[in-house]
Amino acid sequence: MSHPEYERNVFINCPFDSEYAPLFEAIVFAVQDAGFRPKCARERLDSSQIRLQKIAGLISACRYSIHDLSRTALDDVNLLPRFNMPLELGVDLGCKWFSADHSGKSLLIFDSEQYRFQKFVSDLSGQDIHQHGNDARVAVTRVRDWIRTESGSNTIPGGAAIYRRYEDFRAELKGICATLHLDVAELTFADFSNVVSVWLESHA
Amino acid sequence: MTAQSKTSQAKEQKSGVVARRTPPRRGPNAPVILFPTERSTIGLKKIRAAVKAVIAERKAAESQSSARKKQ
Repeated sequence: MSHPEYERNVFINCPFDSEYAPLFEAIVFAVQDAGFRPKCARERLDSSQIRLQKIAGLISACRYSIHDLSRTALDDVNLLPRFNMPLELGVDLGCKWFSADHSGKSLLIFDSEQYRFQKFVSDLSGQDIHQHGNDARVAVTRVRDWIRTESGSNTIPGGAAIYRRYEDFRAELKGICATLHLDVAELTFADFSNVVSVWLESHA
Repeated sequence: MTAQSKTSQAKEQKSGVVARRTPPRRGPNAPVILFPTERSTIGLKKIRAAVKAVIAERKAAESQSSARKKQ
C-alpha cells in the first residue's frame, strides 16, 4: 500500500455540527486510545483543494473507516436530506471493491435506529449496520470492538476502560484549553487530536 | 513524540505490525501513541506544557484534600 500509515489510519465520515460533537470527540478519543490515527475531512484547511478529491485522498489513505448515517434526515429549511455521509460511504465501498490495493479495507457503519437506513439507501441491505443511539459510551464500545476484531490486536483495552479514560480526559480538557487561552469549541480537529495524543502520552 | 516511541513506531511500520496496546502502559511494551499528521494551530510544546500544568494542579488538589481528610 502506497500510504505509509495506511494500516493505522481510520477515516471518520460523520456530521461536523455542534450537536454531533460529543459523539465525534468520543470516537476520535477511542480510535487514538486503541493505537490508531483518526483522519477526517476537517483536518485539511486548504481551500484550493476540491472537497470530494480531498475526501477521496483520505479514504485511499485509510484501511479503516467509520461512516455515521444517523444524521441523514430532512433539514428544516430545504426539506431535503443531508447526503454527504452516504455519498462518502459509496466512495469508500467503491474504493474497496474496485481497487485490489484496498480490498482489505474494513468499514464500520452507524445509523441511529435498526433498519432505518433501508428507507433511504435500501441498497445497503445485507450490510451489518450498527446503532449507537446517540450515546457516546455505546459509540466508543462499538468502535473499540470493531477495531479489536478487524485489526486482530488483542491488547486493546475494553470499551468501558476506554470510556472511563475518556471521562478523565474530558474532566481535564477545559483546564488544558484555559491554559492555552482557547475555548474547547474552538479546537480544530488537528488541535483536538494533538491534545488527545499528548494527554494519552502523559497518562501512559 | 519521544525518541523511544519514534523508534518503536518505525519498527512497527517496517514489520507491518499493527499498533498494540499492551499493559503495562510504560516500558518497551507500552503502546505507541499516534499524533496527527496534519499541523495543528497550537504547537506541541504548548500543548505538553498545558497538559502538564493541569495534571500538576489536579495532583496538588488531590494531595491537599487527602491531607485534610487525615487531619
